[in-house]
Amino acid sequence: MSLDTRNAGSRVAFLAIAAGGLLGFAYTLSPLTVLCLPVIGLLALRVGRDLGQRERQWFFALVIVAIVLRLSAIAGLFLWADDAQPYATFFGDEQLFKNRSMWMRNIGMGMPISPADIIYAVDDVGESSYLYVLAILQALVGAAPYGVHVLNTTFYAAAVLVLYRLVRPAFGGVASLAGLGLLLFLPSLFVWSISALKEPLYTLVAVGELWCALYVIRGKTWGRRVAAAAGLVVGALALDSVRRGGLSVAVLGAAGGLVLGVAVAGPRLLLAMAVTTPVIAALALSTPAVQERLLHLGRMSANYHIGHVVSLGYSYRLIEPRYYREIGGAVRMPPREVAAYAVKSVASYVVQPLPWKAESRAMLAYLPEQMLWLIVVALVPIGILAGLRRDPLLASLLAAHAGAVMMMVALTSGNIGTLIRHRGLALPYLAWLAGLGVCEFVRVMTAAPSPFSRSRSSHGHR
Amino acid sequence: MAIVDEQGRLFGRFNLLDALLILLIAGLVPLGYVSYVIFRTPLPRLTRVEPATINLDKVMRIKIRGEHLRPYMRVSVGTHQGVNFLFKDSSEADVELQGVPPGTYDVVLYDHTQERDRLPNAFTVAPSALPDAQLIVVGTFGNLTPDQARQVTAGMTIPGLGVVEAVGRPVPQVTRVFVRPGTVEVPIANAQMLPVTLRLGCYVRSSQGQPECVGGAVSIQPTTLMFLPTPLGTLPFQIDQVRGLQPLEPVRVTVRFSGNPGVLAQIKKGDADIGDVWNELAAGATVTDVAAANAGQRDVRLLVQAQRGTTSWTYGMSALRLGSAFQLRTAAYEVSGSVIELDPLPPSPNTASSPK
Repeated sequence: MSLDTRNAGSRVAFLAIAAGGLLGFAYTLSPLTVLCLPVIGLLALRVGRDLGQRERQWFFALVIVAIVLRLSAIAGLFLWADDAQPYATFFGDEQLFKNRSMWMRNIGMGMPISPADIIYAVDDVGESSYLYVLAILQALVGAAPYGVHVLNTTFYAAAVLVLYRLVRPAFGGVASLAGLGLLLFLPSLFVWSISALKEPLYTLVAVGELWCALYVIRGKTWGRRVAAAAGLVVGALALDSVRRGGLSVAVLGAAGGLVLGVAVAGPRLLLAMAVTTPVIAALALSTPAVQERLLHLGRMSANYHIGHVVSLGYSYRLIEPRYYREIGGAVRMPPREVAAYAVKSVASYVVQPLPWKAESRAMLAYLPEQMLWLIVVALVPIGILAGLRRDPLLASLLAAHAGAVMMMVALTSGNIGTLIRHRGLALPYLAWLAGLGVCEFVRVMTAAPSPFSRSRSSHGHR
Repeated sequence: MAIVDEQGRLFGRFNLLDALLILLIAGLVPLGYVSYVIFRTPLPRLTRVEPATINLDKVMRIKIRGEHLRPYMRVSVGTHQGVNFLFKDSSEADVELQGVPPGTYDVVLYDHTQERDRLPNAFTVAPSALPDAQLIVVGTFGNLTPDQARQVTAGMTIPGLGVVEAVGRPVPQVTRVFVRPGTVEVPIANAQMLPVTLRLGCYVRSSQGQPECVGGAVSIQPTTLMFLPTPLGTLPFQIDQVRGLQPLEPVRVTVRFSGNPGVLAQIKKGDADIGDVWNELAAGATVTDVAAANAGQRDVRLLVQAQRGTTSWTYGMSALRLGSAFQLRTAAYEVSGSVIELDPLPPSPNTASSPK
């Protein structure tokens, strides 16, 4: 062996030791950061691999800036921590997840905790599988009150990257980059994505469920389709375990999306559906059992709405004032008022908070995003129409899932802060449709020929 | 000689990149130490509790002294969680305790996630500032099988609480349940209850200013249901009558009852006063003679089992004096009157002796 070769070998060993030392140092400071950042990096590389050069530059610029901004915000949180609190949080609700997951971990590991905390650790209120995820991770890597934020950033970034991978071949580069930018930089989504709340995990599981729903039809072999169907079931159950109501969203979104997607692909089937759907709906609505069920659902939703209105914070009212005074009075709400409540709740989902009723600085600061939200809502129908021409199945699934989440949130909301937060659950579906809507709108305005008119669908990148 | 030569070596000896890496890694050690010193949260520690012993009360306030205490910490004594943690500074906090029974406890300090420090046997809740007391309690053991009923005998000890002094005859089980404003009898099938007299140990506590005697963690009162650890297992015991330790003495009493003549006509020789609840072992009174006084009045002579108090005879937890009210309750009637004769008269207070 020559001297040069030996020197090169010892240098590689030295560099490896140095790298290991640095990695160990970083892992000691924040294990979850060391584990999570490579996941984002590898996923971004995988998603951006087949993009054209210009698009790849934009893609990585957006992703890198988004991640750096998020890590900076989390580092700021760490540095601003107050000695009077065990750790800093962006929102009060985060304490529940940070503390409770640690209590669960400690109980599981046989570490003694305060008697009162044992009660709260197993409380039904706030129960979510997200707590178990945090507890298990912290059992493996140790307490991570700030690492949880990095973990959630990873969950959210992974969800957005997977969605980008899913929509890019169908919706094209510009629309997908527009959707990506919206999801990465919309202020409210930015904040939720770095929080310790359960929204990022919900978004990741929801994207997995959407992916499986798509591949129930699109799977290349029967085996893959069956696997996708199994994944769909698991995803739906997992979604429900993260947030109650997730199962309904998954069932309505997948079933509605698949039926609509298949129907749109075949004109005869679409025609048959257009004729039969109103008839079936009318028959169902004339059935007393269905009426009773819908009425019950509406009244229960109104009860949730009342609960939100009477809780702390800014709220909006949709029903007669007497219902807010009388606890449980909504269970006797007549059918006409239930129907009016349903319509008003959907309208409020879109337009709240009303700019002229902004009562706080935070609300005033939110108004620019509210304007952006209204533009997104206006662009979505255009995006859906364009999407149905490009990729009926994907567009249908996105629209159906968004519709299901919107209905679930709209019917049960009443607090403006909570509404804004929960509206973020629909945006991972809507952002891509809005992005496509922008492209289609610009194309129509500039009278450019549709890139979709020549080829129905291009599932490859570029 | 150049500091960095053409081959990138520092002073001709070290590779520049290697030297920088060594410096970086060497720099990490002090950086790590400084970070540890600055960012390390020192572990909290308990040093003492003040007072170390406290008399039982509804709310007990203690002072915790320690090091590196934080506002979000909590304290428990044994498994009893402190109601709050009133942080004063990193070395002192006040904690309020409620519902902690007498005993000696570890004092445990928790942060937001887990136990951080413990002072073993550092805090004692004393039952009372007064010495322990004893009471005679008449009641019934319940939910017994015939075999169990036979095993309950005078002299049976109830560990840590007292001893059985007398045993009556078993009767079918009926539990009295408190239902505002009174009680309801709940029969229980296939079970027996056994009247017994117990001598129970208790301690006196002040409940919102009212003195009461507590045994087995409950206030000893008529109708109270206790669960006593007997040699036969844990048995329900419902109290019918509570007395002091003074012996029962026969006292001849004449009571003038007034009221509806039809009701008064029911009083006859041999009738027994059963009080609120019938229990064959409870101190009672028996009618020995009945005489008409006026229309609507009866003078009734009774033999009463009374206790000698410091100022008067005591019967049924009330003073028995000339002129005091007296109620006679049997299964058939209830009449009220006032005492007109008492034999023997009680000793005067300044000659009263201690209970025998």
